[in-house]
Amino acid sequence: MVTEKSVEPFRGPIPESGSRHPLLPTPYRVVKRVVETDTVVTLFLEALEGGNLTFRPGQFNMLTAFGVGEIAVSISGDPLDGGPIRHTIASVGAVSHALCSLRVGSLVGVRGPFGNGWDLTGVTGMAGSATQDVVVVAGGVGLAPLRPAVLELLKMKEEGRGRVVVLIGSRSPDQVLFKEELDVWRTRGAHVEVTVDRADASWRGSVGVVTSLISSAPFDPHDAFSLVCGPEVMMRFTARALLDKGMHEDKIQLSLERNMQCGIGWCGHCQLGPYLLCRDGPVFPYGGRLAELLAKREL
Amino acid sequence: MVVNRAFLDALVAALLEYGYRVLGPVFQNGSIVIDDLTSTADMPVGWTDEQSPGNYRLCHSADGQLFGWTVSPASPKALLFPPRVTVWQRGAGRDDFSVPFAQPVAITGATKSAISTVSKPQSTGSTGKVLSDTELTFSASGTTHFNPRSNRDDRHLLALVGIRPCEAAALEINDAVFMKGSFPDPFYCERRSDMFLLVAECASSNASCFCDSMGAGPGIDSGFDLAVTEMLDEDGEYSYFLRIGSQRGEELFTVAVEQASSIGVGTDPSIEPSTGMDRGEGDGKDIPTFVELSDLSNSVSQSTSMQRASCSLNYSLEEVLAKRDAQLQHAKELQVGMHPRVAELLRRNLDHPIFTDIAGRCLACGNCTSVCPTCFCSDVVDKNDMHGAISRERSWSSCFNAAHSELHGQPVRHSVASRYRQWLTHKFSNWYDQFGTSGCVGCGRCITWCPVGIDVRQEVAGIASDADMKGDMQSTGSHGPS
Repeated sequence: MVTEKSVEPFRGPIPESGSRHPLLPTPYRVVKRVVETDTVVTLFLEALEGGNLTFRPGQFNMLTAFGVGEIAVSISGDPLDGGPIRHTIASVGAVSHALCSLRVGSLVGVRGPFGNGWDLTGVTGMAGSATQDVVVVAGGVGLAPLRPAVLELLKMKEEGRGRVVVLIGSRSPDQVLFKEELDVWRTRGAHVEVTVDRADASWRGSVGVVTSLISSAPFDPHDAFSLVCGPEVMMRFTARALLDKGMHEDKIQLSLERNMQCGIGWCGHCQLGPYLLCRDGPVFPYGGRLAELLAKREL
Repeated sequence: MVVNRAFLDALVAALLEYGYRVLGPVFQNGSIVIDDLTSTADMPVGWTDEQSPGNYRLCHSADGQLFGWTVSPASPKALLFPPRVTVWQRGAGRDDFSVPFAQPVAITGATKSAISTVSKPQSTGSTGKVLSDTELTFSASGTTHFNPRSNRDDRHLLALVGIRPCEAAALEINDAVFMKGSFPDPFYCERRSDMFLLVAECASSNASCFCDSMGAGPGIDSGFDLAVTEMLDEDGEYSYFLRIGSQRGEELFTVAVEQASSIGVGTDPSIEPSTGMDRGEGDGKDIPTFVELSDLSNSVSQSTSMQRASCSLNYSLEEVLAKRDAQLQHAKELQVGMHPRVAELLRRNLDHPIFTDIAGRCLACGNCTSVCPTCFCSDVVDKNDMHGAISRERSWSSCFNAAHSELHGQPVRHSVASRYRQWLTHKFSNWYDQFGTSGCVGCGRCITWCPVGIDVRQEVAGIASDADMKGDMQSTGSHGPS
């Protein structure tokens, strides 16, 4: 009697059959390792099977160092080159240290890509805005998530679009990332300037915080947009300097960072006020609520 | 209709027969927890609770009341989002280590099933069968610590009997986090999608309750399969006003009637539940569905109960509804509410000195986040043994821990004041931005279980009175952000 009955399933969606559990990493192998500075390493990763993931500039992956843990790391490779997935990692904690210590042939767990990435529609979009200048401002390892954007912008520039200005702040000359590549960017037409907090005898460039480069940088602030990544305090001051120069607050994009333990909006660690950075960001325009939020301590 | 306790037993029996794991309030170890039920006898019969900031007491009487208590420290959250689950595991051994994902044999259930498929739980049919190991999806292998003494944790088909309206509301809030985003949680979805809810409305409130001001109780109008309102009859017996909130609630009800009737006494064939919609919702009440009161004076009996199960009525519908309204009204009147413009208030007062004041009392122990039915933060941590086996565990976290906000080895939120602010603003303000609703249902657990008795309502009222004095609060909006 009762056995003929059925109760209709209702309410929510069931994840599609065959879909991977969102917390399960995919195995990738380290195929190349480049030491960038004494604390920063770039890993090149190839999927064991099924091909590498595709991504947009400014997105990040969750990388697992097996037995140590998982962290969010932005992707520093060229989205269009189709090669190994590139991650430039600063050794600042247990997991990042373990990742930096991996050798060629090691396995890494990868989940992603996550996050919104840089909004480059200002350049790629309407013809009217095609001549817009772009100011890329990086602090320290913040250059890593900006590299894919710079590469994409340089391609656009070769098609006759606006100027690409890259301003880099670094603690000291030996901490400057992608040094050789910066010259390549210059030859491809980018205006690249580097400043360091503390110079040594060999240094011939500027000394000081990266915001000091903004005033003299060659771009039209009223028709430019900006991509900024670095320590939060550096981003705040950079945004103010750009505003002072006349750039609109909505055209300043910041890539934010918080503790992230899932990348998919479950763990709650990456909250900044109204935002879950992994889900809503990590890139946000400085306009709207962000300026106010960044001005609060310990938020 | 109005049913008696034996009929509730018949409903529980019907749920069990369908294959549901029936869970509900149980008196255990001096507290009320959520555990397996086989009949209403397992429920906290005769227990009432007394709650106030930092205080929880249970009292027993000879009264046969099933729902005399208000809310227990346990919430259904733990069934869908267990305090600790193993997300995936990888065995020890060198070969294994080199190719952790290529050797499914070496991977225990969690990973295996997750790799294969996340299969949709079978629509139960009658069988209510326990899915075999291979069919078990990700969740099955996750170690659920929710109910260690039960070995039936793997069953997905859950029926919650006797949860409160605020808890049903909390489940809907959880849905937005774990089911309706871009990345649904398979563990959550499997259990939640087919979950059966029999909700018990509140006839009373404790001093920590503020569900009325959060719009989450003490009654329930939608989001349930069956709802009961416990009512004391003139003869001192309790009876239950039963409403049907879904098609399967109706089906279960019919089965319970059939079951009871097949056992013995014949039933009146006129037991034909019909929904409010069918009848044109003529009563003007804000109740989506209700069942026509049919005269079931030939009450049905159930063999397991001494009492005869009955769907009976010595009431008119108007009388019952009036009685229900009076009870809900009574429960509302006992409550001290949350400030109606809390979202806006908090957003404007992030630097309010009250957070420093609270930090002087707050122990940052995280009790409030543990008992909260909507707090969803989790840590994801790798655990290793000496042989190289790894298990990745996901466990409840709390924004009161310094490590919660750790970035580059330093917490972003150093001070307890900033952590309290994070918790409070998240619940009452930022949740709207993140998920479109409040993150609070007003169950009052965070007030009752705070060891120093911090009362969120009072703290928000403190901010509000300052704001009123400064005159910077325009009278706009209600709970939500304007």
